[in-house]
Amino acid sequence: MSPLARFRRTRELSLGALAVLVAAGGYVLLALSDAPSVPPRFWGFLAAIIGLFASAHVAVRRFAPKADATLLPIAAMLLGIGFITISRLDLDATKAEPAVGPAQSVWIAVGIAMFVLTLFVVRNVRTLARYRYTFLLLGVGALMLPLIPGLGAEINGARLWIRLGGLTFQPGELAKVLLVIFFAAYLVEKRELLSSGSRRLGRLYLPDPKHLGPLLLPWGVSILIMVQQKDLGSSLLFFAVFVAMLYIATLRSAYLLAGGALFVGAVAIAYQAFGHVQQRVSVWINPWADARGDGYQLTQSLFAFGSGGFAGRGIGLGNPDIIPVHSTDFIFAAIGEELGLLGTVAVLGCFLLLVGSAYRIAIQATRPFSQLFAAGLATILGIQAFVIVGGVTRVIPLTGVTLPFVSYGGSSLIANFIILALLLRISHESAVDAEAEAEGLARLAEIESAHA
Amino acid sequence: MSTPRIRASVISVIALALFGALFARLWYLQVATTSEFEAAAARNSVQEIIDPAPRGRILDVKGRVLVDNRMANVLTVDRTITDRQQREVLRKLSVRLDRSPKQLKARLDDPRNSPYTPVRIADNLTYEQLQYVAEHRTEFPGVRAATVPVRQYVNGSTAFHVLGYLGEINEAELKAQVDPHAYQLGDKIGKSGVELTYESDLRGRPGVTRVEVDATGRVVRRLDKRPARAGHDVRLTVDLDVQQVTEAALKQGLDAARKVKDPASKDKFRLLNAPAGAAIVLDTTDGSVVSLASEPDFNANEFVNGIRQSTWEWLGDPRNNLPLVDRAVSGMYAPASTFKLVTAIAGLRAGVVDPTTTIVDNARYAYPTDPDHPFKGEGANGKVDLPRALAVSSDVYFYRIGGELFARQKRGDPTGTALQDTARELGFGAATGIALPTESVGRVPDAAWKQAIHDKNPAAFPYPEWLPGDNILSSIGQGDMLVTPVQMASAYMTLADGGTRYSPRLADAVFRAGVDAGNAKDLAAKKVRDLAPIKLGTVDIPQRDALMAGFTGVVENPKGTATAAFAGFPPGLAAGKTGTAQVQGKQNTSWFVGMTPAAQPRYIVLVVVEEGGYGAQTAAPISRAIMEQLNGLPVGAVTNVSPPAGN
Repeated sequence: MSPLARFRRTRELSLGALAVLVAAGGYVLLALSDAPSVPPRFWGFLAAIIGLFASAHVAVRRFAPKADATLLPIAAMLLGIGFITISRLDLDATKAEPAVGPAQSVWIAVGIAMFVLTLFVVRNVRTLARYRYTFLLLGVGALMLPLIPGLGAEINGARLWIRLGGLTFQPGELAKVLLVIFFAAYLVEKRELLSSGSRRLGRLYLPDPKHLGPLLLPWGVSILIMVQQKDLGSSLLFFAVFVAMLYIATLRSAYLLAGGALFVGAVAIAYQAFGHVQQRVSVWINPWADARGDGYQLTQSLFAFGSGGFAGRGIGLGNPDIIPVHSTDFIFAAIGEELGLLGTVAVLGCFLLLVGSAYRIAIQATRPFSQLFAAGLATILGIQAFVIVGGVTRVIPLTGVTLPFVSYGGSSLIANFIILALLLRISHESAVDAEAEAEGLARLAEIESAHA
Repeated sequence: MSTPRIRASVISVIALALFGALFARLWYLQVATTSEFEAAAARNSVQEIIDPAPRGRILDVKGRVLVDNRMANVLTVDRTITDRQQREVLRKLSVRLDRSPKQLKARLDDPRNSPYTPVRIADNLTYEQLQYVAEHRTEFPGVRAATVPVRQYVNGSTAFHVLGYLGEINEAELKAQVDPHAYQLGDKIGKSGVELTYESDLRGRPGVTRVEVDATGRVVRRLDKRPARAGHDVRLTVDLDVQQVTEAALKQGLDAARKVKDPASKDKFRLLNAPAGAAIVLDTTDGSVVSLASEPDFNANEFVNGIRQSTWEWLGDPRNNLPLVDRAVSGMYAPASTFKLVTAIAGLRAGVVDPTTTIVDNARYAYPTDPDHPFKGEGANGKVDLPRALAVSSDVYFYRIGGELFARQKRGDPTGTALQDTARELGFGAATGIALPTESVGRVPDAAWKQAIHDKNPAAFPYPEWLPGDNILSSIGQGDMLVTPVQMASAYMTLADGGTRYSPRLADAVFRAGVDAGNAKDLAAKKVRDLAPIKLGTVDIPQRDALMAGFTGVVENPKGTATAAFAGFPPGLAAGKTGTAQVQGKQNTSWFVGMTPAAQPRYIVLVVVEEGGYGAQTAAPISRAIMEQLNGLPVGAVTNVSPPAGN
């Protein structure tokens, strides 16, 4: 094992130990809110989280030893805080909001298995670029799956799920990753053509529609599908990811501006066309106007943050069960109530570090596809966190997406673990390339000095 | 290679800015505006929405359900609908439900209802009525069909005086509560019987949801919720089978008595009134109440949805014999000859008599210092010893004991108050502690009592002194002696079990709600607590065998007072004592305290009938029928055993 690999893996392990410590501590505190003794299942819980983290860590050690050291521990920390919060909400489980902790623990295990599998299967990210059109088809197909009668299921008014046996799954979560692979691969291929522009429209040079078309088409289709499925959060996410990647690929601010203009236009049209969009916006502008009805979720969420204050009401001591859909969309409000500003800042800080590390991986990537792909994945994580945290704190209108790694949900966990594995793979490859480059330069210097 | 890095950096900066906004927002929400939220919360007020807990059931000793909760169909109206909607809804409902709009409006506006919970405006609806409203929901905004638990007395009036009934809590009861949140106006509370005495077990704990409402009364948010805890099930010692037989026998006995002539009246056509009576069966092994009945009784289901005013007035009218009064524990009667148990024990303990002491009863007894005013006995019985004196109910025998004790009392001999002391030791003049709310204490008159009533009202009671006649009449349970049926039953229970005094016990265990009474495992798992027998002490009863022989003679000796009533009854199975109390201005009170089996009595079967004539005539046949049930014999019809004409 090279010195870099050893350094990074040792650091990953020690940071991971911290994450395990936080989760274990939270578990004990939660139990203490209910009974004055250490819970009997504590040692089992500790063994399980150590085992889960260790298996992920060993997989990285084995398949991507030079990868970034911070991503996995941060994800572990978020998972831990999320799981504690979900377990806490389970204490007040009702028929309408049943206990989901046991299911979440299974999903975490499945997610880690997918993480290991991705690291094992995807040995070279550039091979993904080769199958870009396959991924495009798969991605759009996955998005359309819930629309198939008999297979799709509507939950909370959005038709995002497919039901197989007793399990529900949200294929849109995976579609995000698949479509980002396509975007990255296509943009790398056509970047020169897209950034130069060959057609003139007034003072603007536009790229040839021949090249732009294949890009806009799937994007438009996916947006339309999501509108059809009433999934505003995912629409917003796609839009932002697409614009960001286009901008990074071409460095043309015009795309940012055009994206912004398109976004405003789309919002205006959606506002006119869809009642539920109008409702979201009016609740955002004044949630108190109908605090018992449409504004109920959001006002309860704001109250939760307010009653949490600086240090929170303590794990297990608040009433976060009052907020509807508290274990998925509104889990951040539950954290805000019981862990206070300290908790929310810690979680948000984790996301900042996670997204920052992901962008660092993008910046340090040695190959164009890897750069764009990593940036796309980083943007997915960042936008998703921003959209839901901004939504529940009334910074932006509320749209339902999950808080990565924290919220309950199998599909989102699996997708996020795959994103994590792909980022680590890119990071490892870049480190290998950089080392090789450094070695080459050193050789060159040696040869030059020998000649001199 | 550098440009893409810059691009990515630009994106990073944007991301950082966006996250920065979130951090700022969180600071604002969680720290900067906390006081603002608190101020908003203070402007708003907190309201409690009460969710009543299902009341516990009452079971008989074998686990049969005596009081249950049945689900009733009700309609509720949300008070937040507009006035115009409300008028329209009430108008339509009044047509459907056959009630006047005014009536419905009154219930809707009842200030006892919380403005935040829908108001029940109609109970006990038919399925068709509910269905109509459900099917025409749009015509009835704010109206909901719901099912609510309603108290149900499964066997109607059976065990009414044991079980009691519920009513709305009144101001005084509300004020008496230790926990001010336990009840609110409009809540149901036990008003009598076990429903009252085990209220705290049966009630459970209502759920409370605290909500914050703004100035306009709209709910802003839910603060917290404490779920309701169902009330505990209480298992009684009462056996439904025995209870039903007891009530039937008592009713039949009263009916039979009303058809016969009053033997004490000179008027040939004067029938017995027999308006009321009581019967108690106690288990001598631990003081358990096996049955307890008081006539007339009432159907507690009539109280369930609030009793009608006219019915309530009828119940309070003395002409209707006050069905709500539990005569078994609150009725006070002169005990007459049933009290001879006490006199006998007092005489034995003071050494005035022993079992062989024999006298000649010529139906007359005069106190030595006043030979000209003899006390008359009920017939001459010739030579009698103590057992025979009990069997034939010789008044003279017991007059003598009373007289002798009085003489000792005058001499300052401490055994002189043996009659009063023994009476108190056996529980007379004090509550037995049975878990029923209206128990009377009765009265054991003595010198101090007589002085006291004279001091209080010298005109009405001119003689402050305890006179020979006072003690002599007390010895046969007349004069100013007053006892309750439950006291008398307890005293005989003490005799029967050899001197141990138990407080009559009505309930034997408390279980968590919904216990499966037929399942021993579930009973053990859900038991909250046992209600153990309560031992009050022991009483020294000398010569118990001789006494029991006397009481067996009552039903078996050819001259026994109740032999006729027990004709054909298996020998050795019954003992007892008759009593016929004279009451000023009324017909005689008929008493019988039965014990079965005779040698080692397991049960005390006490019956008392107001204006029922002789004890042997009305009370004894009722007691006999109950004893038949207790011994697994076929229960015969209760007749009146009229004494031979001219007696």
